[in-house]
Amino acid sequence: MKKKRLLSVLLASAMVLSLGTPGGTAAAQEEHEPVTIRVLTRWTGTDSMTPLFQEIKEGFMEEYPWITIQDDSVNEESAYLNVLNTAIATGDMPNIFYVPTVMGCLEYAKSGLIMDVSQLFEDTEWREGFKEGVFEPFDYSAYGVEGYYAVPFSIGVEGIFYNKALFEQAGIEKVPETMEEMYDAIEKLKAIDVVPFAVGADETWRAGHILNWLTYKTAGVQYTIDIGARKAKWTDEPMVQSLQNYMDLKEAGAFPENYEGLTYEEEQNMFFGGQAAMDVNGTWFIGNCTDSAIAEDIGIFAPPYYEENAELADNGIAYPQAFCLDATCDDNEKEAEILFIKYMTSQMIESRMANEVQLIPARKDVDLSGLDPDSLVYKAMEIADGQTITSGDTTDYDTLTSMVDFVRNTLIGMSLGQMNPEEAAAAIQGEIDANQ
Amino acid sequence: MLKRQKKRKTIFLFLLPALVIYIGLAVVPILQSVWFAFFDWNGVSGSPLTFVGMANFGSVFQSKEFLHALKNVFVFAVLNLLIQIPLGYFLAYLLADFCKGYRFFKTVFFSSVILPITATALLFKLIFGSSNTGALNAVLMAAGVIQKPQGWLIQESTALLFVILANAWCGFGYHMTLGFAAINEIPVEILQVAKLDGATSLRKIVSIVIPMIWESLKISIVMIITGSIKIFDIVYIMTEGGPNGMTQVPAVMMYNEAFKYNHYGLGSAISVVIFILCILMSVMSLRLMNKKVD
Repeated sequence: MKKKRLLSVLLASAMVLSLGTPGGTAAAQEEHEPVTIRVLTRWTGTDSMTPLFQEIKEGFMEEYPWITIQDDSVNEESAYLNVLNTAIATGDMPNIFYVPTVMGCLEYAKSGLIMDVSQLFEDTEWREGFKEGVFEPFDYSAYGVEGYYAVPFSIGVEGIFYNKALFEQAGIEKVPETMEEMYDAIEKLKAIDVVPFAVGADETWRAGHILNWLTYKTAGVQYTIDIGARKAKWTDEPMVQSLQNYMDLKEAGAFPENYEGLTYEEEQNMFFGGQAAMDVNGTWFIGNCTDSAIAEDIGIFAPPYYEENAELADNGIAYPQAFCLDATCDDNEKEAEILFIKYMTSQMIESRMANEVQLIPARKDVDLSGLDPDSLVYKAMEIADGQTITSGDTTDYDTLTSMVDFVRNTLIGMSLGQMNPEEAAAAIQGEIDANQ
Repeated sequence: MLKRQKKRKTIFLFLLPALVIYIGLAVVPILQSVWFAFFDWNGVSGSPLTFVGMANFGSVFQSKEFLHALKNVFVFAVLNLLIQIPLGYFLAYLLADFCKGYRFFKTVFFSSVILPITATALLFKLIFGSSNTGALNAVLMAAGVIQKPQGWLIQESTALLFVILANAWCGFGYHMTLGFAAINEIPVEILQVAKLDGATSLRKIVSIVIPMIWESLKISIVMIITGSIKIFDIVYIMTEGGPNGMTQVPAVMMYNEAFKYNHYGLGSAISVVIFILCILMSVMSLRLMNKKVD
């Protein structure tokens, strides 16, 4: 008897709740089967995109009420990779996930786990809004898989952030354009007891990003692409010279004492605390700059080039930021994935990302009227416009998954005196050869 | 007879849940690791497993990094034995006198064991930090021992040693507790008679205490050796095995190969080697210690 009473209460409640649903929504839900898609980004916790992403999800679910977005985001890089790798190993793929590295998705594409997004290009209005070449890093046809396997939403351009007040104090009248000018600036900064570059290479990517700059200006972006295709080697002279140039910069006193053991927080404290004058970083760093006490004094300039390699001046560092879509789910989920990714990369959302979170958009048709032309993001876009060929890490085109770590670790070993540039290059090439 | 059979059934039923959990969470994964170690797999669900025989084990033993990691765990085990056991058992001996406030000190010394290893490792990372804000550098600079900050966790001469010190701090309290329990089992009369016979404290320790707590010491030794071979958390948090493999240990290498580089076969082979080494070292050390007693 009690059970019956409970059941009738539950049924009555369900009826009342269903009556309370707005008419439009109920109609929409009648037409579409309810579906939940899981999204794995790194926009959570203290990430500057977190509040906006929350609004994006809510806005989307309001517009498409039959779709529920389950946000499984993880901010910290290694934790994110753990979640993603475990999900992929166990066949429990998220519907949409942030691309860890360009080549990191090649195996997923080969295994048919991720969607060939070229089918979305039929929507020409959406496709034509993107900047030239932003889909190209995800074209794996050179590796035996036809199609494009990720949808870009932003470009992380890397430049050199600098403290204008310290530059002025050191008597540096203009930002260095060539490495000769850079070495001159380093000497001037050291003369006023300022550390030229803030670097906390306990997180090895900090040193790795400096190597990216020096490599692209010494050997060129194409050289690293050729290494990935196994047409060139790390032991070739231009790559050894890139490692040598890194050591030259270190030996010139450009980096802090014991920088190999400093944390990224310590690096930021040095830069924002006015102890260091420059920081090699990407546009994701802009949010930290604008929130800092020296926000007014921070500028950004393009990484300098070597005069003897002036033809590589337009080779730059840019990290394509994109999402992959699950290809193994049912059609209902696929449809929801496509709707969400198109919404995420729509002109309206990309404009908000650029204006509110200072992300450089992947689209060319975004409204940037909210941006100050003197702002860091605007300047970063100018840097991007001056580059004709770009890549992220020197290992971005390498299919060997251990390479990014191996190169960075070897770089730190070389910096600590465990080996010279020739030996470092041989060690890196040895890792490739051992895994052929 | 029937009663005994019923009792056995009851015992079995009580043991069953633990047995199922143990088999599911320990035995099955171990067997799976052994299975995977003979295959090449990229970690992508649905992609084929390629049988490679002993090739993964060949790669493990040809890897300079793995051999270096083995050397590191050997140093890890030896130094931990030399630090944790004397320190833990000496403190246990002092506390066993039931001096005033012994409960307080016992709790304080044991607290290092109950603190989460992640928090402790991060704490030590800050203490041994490379900048002048690292606590050790700050203290030594203030005392005039060093003139500029030292990179304790990045110098070849100190990196592994400081990770070992942090690990020893985390573990000595456990061995103190084992020692305290064992020393308390020694009949007081024996120690009193020895005292009347004029035995010095050192003589009492060597001739009475150590032989009588030998079983407990054996447990401590085996635990430190096996714990060192499979050490992961503190190394991963403090140095991630770096810089450039300087503090690398097999378990961190296994984690990187399997979960970072998607070499699941190689990672499994490393885990099998760790497992075999743990068993071998336990058996060998127990045999050696039993011989000593004989």
